Amino acid sequence: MPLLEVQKLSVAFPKPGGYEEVLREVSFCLEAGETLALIGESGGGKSVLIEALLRLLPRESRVSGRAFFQFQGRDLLAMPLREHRSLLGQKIAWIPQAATEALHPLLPVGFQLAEPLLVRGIPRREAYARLVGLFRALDLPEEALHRYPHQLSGGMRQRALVAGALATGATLVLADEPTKGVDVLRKDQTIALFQKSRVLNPGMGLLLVTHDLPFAQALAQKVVVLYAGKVVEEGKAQTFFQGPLHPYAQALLEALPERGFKPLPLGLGREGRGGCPFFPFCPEGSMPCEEGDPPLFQTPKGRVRCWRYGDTGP
Amino acid sequence: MEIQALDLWKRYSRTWVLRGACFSFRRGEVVALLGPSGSGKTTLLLTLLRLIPVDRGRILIDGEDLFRRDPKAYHRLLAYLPQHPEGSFNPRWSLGRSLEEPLRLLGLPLRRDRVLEVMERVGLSPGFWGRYPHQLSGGELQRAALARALLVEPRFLLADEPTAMLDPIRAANTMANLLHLVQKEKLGLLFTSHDPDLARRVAHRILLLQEGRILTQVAT
Repeated sequence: MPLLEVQKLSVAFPKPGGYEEVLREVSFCLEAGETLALIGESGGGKSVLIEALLRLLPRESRVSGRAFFQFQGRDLLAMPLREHRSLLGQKIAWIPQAATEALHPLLPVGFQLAEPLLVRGIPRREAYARLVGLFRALDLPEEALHRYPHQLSGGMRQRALVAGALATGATLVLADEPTKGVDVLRKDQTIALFQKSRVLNPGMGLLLVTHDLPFAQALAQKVVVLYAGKVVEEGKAQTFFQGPLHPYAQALLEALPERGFKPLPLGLGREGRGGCPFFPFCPEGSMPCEEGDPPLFQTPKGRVRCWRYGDTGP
Repeated sequence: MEIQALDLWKRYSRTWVLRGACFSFRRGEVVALLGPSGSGKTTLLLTLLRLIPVDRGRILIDGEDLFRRDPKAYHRLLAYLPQHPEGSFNPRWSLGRSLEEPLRLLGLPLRRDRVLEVMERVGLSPGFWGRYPHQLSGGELQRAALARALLVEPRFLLADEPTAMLDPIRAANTMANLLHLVQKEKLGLLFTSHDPDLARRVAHRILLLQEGRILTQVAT
C-alpha cells in the first residue's frame, strides 16, 4: 500500500449562485520514501489540496474523494476529526506557505516549534536539541529559537518552519512552497536537509507543492502537474524535466529565466464552455480540443491529459 | 532623475543590518538587488521609501534631500510593491477603498474613473472595486498592489520579490509587464530577488547586498 493514496479528490468553494470547483477528481499515489512534486498555476488549488488533507478548509467548502494514509490504512478525509488531529505533528507534518502568518507573533519561535514534540511527551531538552541540530543544518543561528518571528527575516522564518516540521519525524510531510523567499545558497541547504532526513527517516514521504521547478527537480522522483483543477500530467521527475508532454507543462518550463523566460498571457479560462481548459492559450491547440475535455492518456513517458497523445479524437 | 543612497546605516536593537550601503539608480533603469536572506534587502527598500528611518546616511533625489523639504512630494515619486501583498491590504476595506488611500494620504484628487482605469491596466475588472482582500487570490492581490503603486504616477518603483509568489509563467508575465511599464512610463525599477537567472535576464545592473554593504555592481 502506498504511503498516501489520493483518489478523486474534489474541492469546491461556495460562490454567489453555486459552487466554484477548485480541484476536480485529483488522484495520485505517494510511496513511502518518495518525494512527489505537485506543480501548477499560482492560485490553482495546490495549497487547497494540502489543506484538504489537513482538514483545515473552511466548513462551507465541499470536499469529496478519498485519501488513504498508510498508517492504519484509514481515509484521512473520512476519519473522525479528533483522530485526524492526533496524527498532525506526529505522523503528518505540515510546512505552511505563509511563513509570516504561520507563526504566532507573540511567542518565541522555538517555543512554537517545540510544542508538537512536547505534547507527545518528548522532554523539553531533547525537543530543543533536535531543533538546534536542524537549525544548524539550515544555517540558522541557535539563538533564532529564542527570538520572536518579527526578528527573523522572511527566509529565516521559512527555514525555521522546515526545521520544525522535520523535527517531528513524521512519515508524511506536506510542504507548501518550502523555498519561498529562501536564497540560492540556503536553498541548496534545504535540499540537502530534505535529502538527509530521507536517509534518517527512510520511510518519509514528501508531498512538495511548489513553483520552484529547479528545487522540485533536485528532490522529486515523481511529478504531478495541475491545471484548471485537474491533473494534466503525471510521470517520473527525470523524464518530465527532460521533456514534459503537456503543452501547459512545456510552457511552464519555457517560462523559467534559465530556459527562455517566455511569457504566456493567461486570460480567463473556458469555464463551463467544455473542451480542453488550456485550449485558448495552447500553441498546439486545434479544433478537436475545443470540443471535448481530454481524458488522461497513458504514454510510455507518463500519463497526460492532451488529445495529441490519444489514439482517437474527442 | 536619480536616487542616491549615501552611506546608509540601520540597526535593529543591537544588530546592524545596513553598514554603509551606497548606490544610485536612475529613471528608466532596471536594477536587481540580490543578497542572502536576512541580508537587509527589504530593510534597504523600506529606508529608501522612508518607511523606516536610517541611523545614518542620506537619501537624495537629484542631489537634494527632498524628503526633508516635502515628504508628500517624495512619496509621490517612489511607489512600493511589498513582498507579501496579502498582508498589505486592510482586510476590512474594499479594494476600491484601499486603492484610494494613497491618493487620500497624498492629498491628490479622488477620481474613481482614474482608479478604475489603472485597475484595468493591471488586469482587474471594475467588479473588483467592491471585493475584499480575502476574496482575491494571491496573484490578484499582487496586481491590486501594482495598481495601488501606479495610481500616484510614481517615477520609481521598488518591488520586493515581485515574482516569489508566482508560478514560472505568471512570473515571466509579471516581469514582462513591469519591464513594459518601465519603458512606457520611463520608470526606474529596483527589485529584490533570490533568482540570479532572473536578475541576469532582465536587469541593467545587479547590486549585491552582503553584510549591510553593496558589494558589487555587475552590469548585465
